[in-house]
Amino acid sequence: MAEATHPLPEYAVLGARIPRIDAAAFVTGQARFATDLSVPGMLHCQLRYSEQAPARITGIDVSAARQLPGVEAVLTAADVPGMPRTGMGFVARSLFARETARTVADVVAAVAAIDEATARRAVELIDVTYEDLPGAFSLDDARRQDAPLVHPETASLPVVPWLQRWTVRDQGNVVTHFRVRKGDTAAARPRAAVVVQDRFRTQRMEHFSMEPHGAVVNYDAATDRVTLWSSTGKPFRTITQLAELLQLPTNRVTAVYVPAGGDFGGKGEVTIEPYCALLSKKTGRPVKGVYSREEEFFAATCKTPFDIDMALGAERDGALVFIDAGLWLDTGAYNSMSAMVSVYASVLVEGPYNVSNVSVDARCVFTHNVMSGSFRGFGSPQVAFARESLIDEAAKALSLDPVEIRLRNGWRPGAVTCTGQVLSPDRHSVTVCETIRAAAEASGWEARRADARTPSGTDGRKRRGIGIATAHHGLGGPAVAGVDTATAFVKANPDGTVTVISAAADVGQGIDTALSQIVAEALGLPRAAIAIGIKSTDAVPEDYGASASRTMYSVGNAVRAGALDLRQKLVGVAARMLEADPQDVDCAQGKLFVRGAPGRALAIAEVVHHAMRGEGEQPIGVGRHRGRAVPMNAEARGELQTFEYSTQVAEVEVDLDTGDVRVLRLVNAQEIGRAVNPLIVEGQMEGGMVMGLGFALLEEVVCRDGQVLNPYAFDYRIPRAEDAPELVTVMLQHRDPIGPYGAKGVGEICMDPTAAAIANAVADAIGTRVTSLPITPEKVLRALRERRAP
Amino acid sequence: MLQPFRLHDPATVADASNLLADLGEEARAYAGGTELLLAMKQGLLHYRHLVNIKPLGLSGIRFDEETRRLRIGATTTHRAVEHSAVVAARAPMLASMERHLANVRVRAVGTVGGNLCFAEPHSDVATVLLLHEATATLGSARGRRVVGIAELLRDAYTTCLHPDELLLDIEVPELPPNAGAAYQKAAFLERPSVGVGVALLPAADGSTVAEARVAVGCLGPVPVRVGEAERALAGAPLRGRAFERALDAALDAVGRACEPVDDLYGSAGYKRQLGVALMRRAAVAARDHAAPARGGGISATD
Amino acid sequence: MQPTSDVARDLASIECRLNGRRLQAVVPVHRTLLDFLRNDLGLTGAKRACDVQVCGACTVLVDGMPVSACTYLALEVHGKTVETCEGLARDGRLHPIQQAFVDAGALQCGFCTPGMVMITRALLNDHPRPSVEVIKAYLHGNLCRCTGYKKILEAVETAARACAAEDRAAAT
Ligand SMILES: Cc1cc2nc3c(=O)[nH]c(=O)nc-3n(C[C@H](O)[C@H](O)[C@H](O)COP(=O)(O)OP(=O)(O)OC[C@H]3O[C@@H](n4cnc5c(N)ncnc54)[C@H](O)[C@@H]3O)c2cc1C
Ligand code: FES
Ligand code: FES
Repeated sequence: MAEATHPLPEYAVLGARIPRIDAAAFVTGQARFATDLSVPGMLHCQLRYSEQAPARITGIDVSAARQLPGVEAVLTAADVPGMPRTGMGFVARSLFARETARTVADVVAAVAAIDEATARRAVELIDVTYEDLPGAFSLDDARRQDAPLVHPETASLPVVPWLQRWTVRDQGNVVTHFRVRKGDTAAARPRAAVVVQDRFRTQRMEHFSMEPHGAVVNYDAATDRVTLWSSTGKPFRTITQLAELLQLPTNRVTAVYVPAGGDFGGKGEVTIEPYCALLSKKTGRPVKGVYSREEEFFAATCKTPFDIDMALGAERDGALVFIDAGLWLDTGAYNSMSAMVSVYASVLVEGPYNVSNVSVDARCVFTHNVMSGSFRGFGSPQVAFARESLIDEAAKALSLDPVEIRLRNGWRPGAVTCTGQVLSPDRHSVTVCETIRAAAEASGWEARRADARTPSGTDGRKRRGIGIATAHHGLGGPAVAGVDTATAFVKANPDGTVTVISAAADVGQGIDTALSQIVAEALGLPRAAIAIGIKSTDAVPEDYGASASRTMYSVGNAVRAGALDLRQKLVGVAARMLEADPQDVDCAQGKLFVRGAPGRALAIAEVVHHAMRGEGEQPIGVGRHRGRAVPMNAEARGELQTFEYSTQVAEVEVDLDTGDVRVLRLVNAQEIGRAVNPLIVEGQMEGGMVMGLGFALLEEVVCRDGQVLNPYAFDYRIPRAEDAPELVTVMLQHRDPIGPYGAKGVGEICMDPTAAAIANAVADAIGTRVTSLPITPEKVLRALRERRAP
Repeated sequence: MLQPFRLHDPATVADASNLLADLGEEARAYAGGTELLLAMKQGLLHYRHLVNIKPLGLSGIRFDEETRRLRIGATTTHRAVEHSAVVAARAPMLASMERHLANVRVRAVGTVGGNLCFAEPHSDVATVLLLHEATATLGSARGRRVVGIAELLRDAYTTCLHPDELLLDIEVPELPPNAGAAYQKAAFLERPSVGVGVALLPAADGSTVAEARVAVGCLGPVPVRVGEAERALAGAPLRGRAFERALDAALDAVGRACEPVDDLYGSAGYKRQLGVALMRRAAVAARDHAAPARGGGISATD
Repeated sequence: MQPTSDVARDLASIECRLNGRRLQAVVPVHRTLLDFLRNDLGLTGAKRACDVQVCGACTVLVDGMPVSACTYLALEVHGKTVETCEGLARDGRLHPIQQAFVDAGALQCGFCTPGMVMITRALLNDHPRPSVEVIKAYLHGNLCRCTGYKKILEAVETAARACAAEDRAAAT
């Protein structure tokens, strides 16, 4: 008999390619997003922003707005005494601008009216007068010694505890400095056979979640409580920030979970919620607020733009000797998650490679631009673009194949990262080289590379190119803020069904479906017997939310542990009922039975009934995940929960006359640990790759003097169906030793190397390199011209 | 968000014209509304009255065998043009341009007349009609007049229409059967960055260009015909090095003629380069259609 | 002063068929179809995502043709047939287009999905056997930020086959 070639055992539910359990609600229009909700008596909120910035506000006249029929309340700084501030790094953003407007997103007033149109009209009736102030809008300008200070009180600006170690107080708008040091790059530099270096730029990119930010908020005066239905993907982060701003304890602020129409790292900061809450408090009525698409661009966060100076050295055989990088982050005026992004990006600069000398200096710079923050990838796509470009340049200089040089350097089990973390096999599956080999194979690398660069197109005016890039992603964040933890309850109901109480926020990644598969697997139940409990921040344990690729790993682990705990409890009760040894009792196919004695079986309902009415205790499993990360210390020594890996190969065709780049094919070989649901994992991978294509070629929020020039869908191009290339996904499933059934996060790593791979393919096609993203047709033509010029 | 307005449903062109005259600046003709409602929602335009011109019976497509002209009513939707067998037969370049304009929903609602009358500088319709030497019939309670596309489009967002005038229809002369025509556009953002059309009308013997037309759109406030480029191509043989030489001269002329500005669509220099590149492609495609290796007949590419 | 032949309105009474049922309503003339559906009728399937006719989240069908409800006056549906994604399922059974989206995993956050389903319906009205090129041309104006479109294209192809099969079955 032939051996099973598949190393993974077969499960009935786990690993099954089943559709989303909640899919029908979306295709029929029955799913209610926060922005779909309305409640009786509801008012509508609109915000008035400062249209000039930076500026001194010399007058705010809301009298006309207040008098407009239908307007129920108008709030300005004057109505919020002792204005609290918020921020995920610097606590610098106040709800209302009082005297100074730093950005065009600073809120001057908030209006509640009986309908959107009235609220809008009222906003337009507000008269604000300004005096212009000088601004600093580019990284270069803001870094200058004589630059106008975005926060003149920089020296005393409050900072969240974890960031204090890296805060600088005496360098003007440069406010953080995070350093990574491994070995000695200066000493190593002369040893390198080849040194390549360049300056890379990455752009401000908009998340462009299809659902804009929005919320319905109700303040109940009788109980002094706030309830909200928000588009957030991080309900606990939202209520924490909201409670802080409203000066309420968190147990008086409840977020009811509703599906979020996309997140991508953009739905973590509070946006319109606090205004709705204050207006609700003022009027005694529920208040709804929804951002317009324009507000999405300037009032919510965007991906943090990076300037990256990077140098990389390699020995003749391709072994990387050193990487030296300076990262400059334009955080806008408030530095949302950007400081955390800078830490994370720094740690990932080395790539999943053995580089003995690493030096990174990352600095966050305040500018008068709109606020930047976190974005799917959290700094990894930016640094991967620079590093993988340089690795290709080094390979070229050394006449090495790009696949070869990556394989030569890729981490092996036991590798030591630049933060000193040892990737020991008992805690990490390190499969960097596996992803490289798989990507090379799935893409037909050798044959395709030989084919590439032959002229194509009807008139021979097109060139093909192929490029490869590898990246890694640290799961669960850089552990600067402490240990990642998750708790879940798995409850057996008297009718034999099971309800899962977890804090996982479904932002489209299908986590609820996957969790139900995990529970079904653990309990031997059909998936249909599992329901995901309706969630609110009151009813579920505290959680970081859908971020840092952690939900499957951390919450999934807690849910699995909870399910196993329940199983043990059920087995215990059944053993007592059957007068059997618990060791001999099994739980499968929806029954509890004595192994080898099929007659001695009980339905789960009977067991639960007995547990409750006979023994006086409902069987509820409790499961926990305790992340084994070590918070980063001042020397950047610390540990992340684990790493994910992906290698991608892009094939492009470049039109030499128009500069158009068409991606023909994207191959993604990604280590996912274990596909709890391959349909869902594949969807994440495909979506991430196409979003990476947008980052590489299409998308840029254009800011001029602090104004966003293209805040409309017709001037900001996200990938369309016709832009999507052939997508090839290869799921590598080397079980993670810690993740539930071996699963790891998949949602960010899938776009981390995409832009780098596309950039390398373009460079291969045109023989010169575009070092700033997005690689627009205009930049391609300029690069071609400059190549011809010398 | 739309602010309130009143809607008028006149029964005749004269009534509509009178209404527009009486209401003056506060009123505007409303067809599909894809531009108008958008601009009003964005607060760029304010009208207290909209005059619905869809019930005026101005939509429809007809080919007049005698004049060899295609008549397209002003309120004909892009979709109707796109799906019209008559247009496909008589003005294939127009049909193929329509297939690539905006998206299916805008095409289902937006009208050809609305496109022209809004005079948005990034119009494919205007460039292609200019190339076709189409004419526009304007009408009011005071009478009718016929103008060319170049006369209709005065400036960005500005037409020669009097406040009480409506565009009634456009007439598109069919190109001669042995002509070759092609329209090339580049669109990175929603609307085209550059659109270039070339028509080559061969001489009777079919070996040289009797008349060349070159229209460039999106690179200035209104699409333009590039006379110098047309003259460079006129008289050139359709094949061989001589065509290439004439084309090079025409490309130079196009490069000189267009005066783009830096904007979100790109820098002036880039757009000029793109215009020249598209011109080359359009010209070569037009040539290939005008003088096919075998057979003959009009065709178009995009 | 207004001419006598003028019928000026700030309210419009409309009569239409919405998802197979007759509907009569009076709406302000400046009410968009999207606001009418979502705010007046509580049909929140069609979404507002861009508000400028680019993304297709608000796609509904009027007389079988797709329109952007966000930039289309409600009064225009007078005398016409309107279909939204809420009206596709029959007797608790998903429409083959909806089923295809579910089975293919063609949705993640689901916010674009009602629009995707309706543009597919419009596509299949126009082209019962669409080529990939035609499918992409119809999807040109429907954006999805989550899926990367691959599974959406698969769903549309499956839906086309399923609808064709259903039509054949109905014909025999
Ligand atoms: C998302 C999007 C993408 C687009 N992409 C393209 C593209 O790629 N290429 C391209 O060429 N165009 C493009 N367009 C423009 C599109 O063609 C126009 O929106 C449409 O044709 C306008 O027609 P309408 O009937 O909706 O005009 P309306 O919005 O009703 O009217 C527009 C203007 O014209 C006036 N008007 C209309 N008809 C008449 C008339 N008969 N007489 C006098 N005045 C009149 C109105 O008063 C108004 O000022 C795009 C538009 C959108 C919204
Ligand atoms: S919301 Fe109507 S097209 Fe985007
Ligand atoms: S599924 Fe989220 S936008 Fe399409």
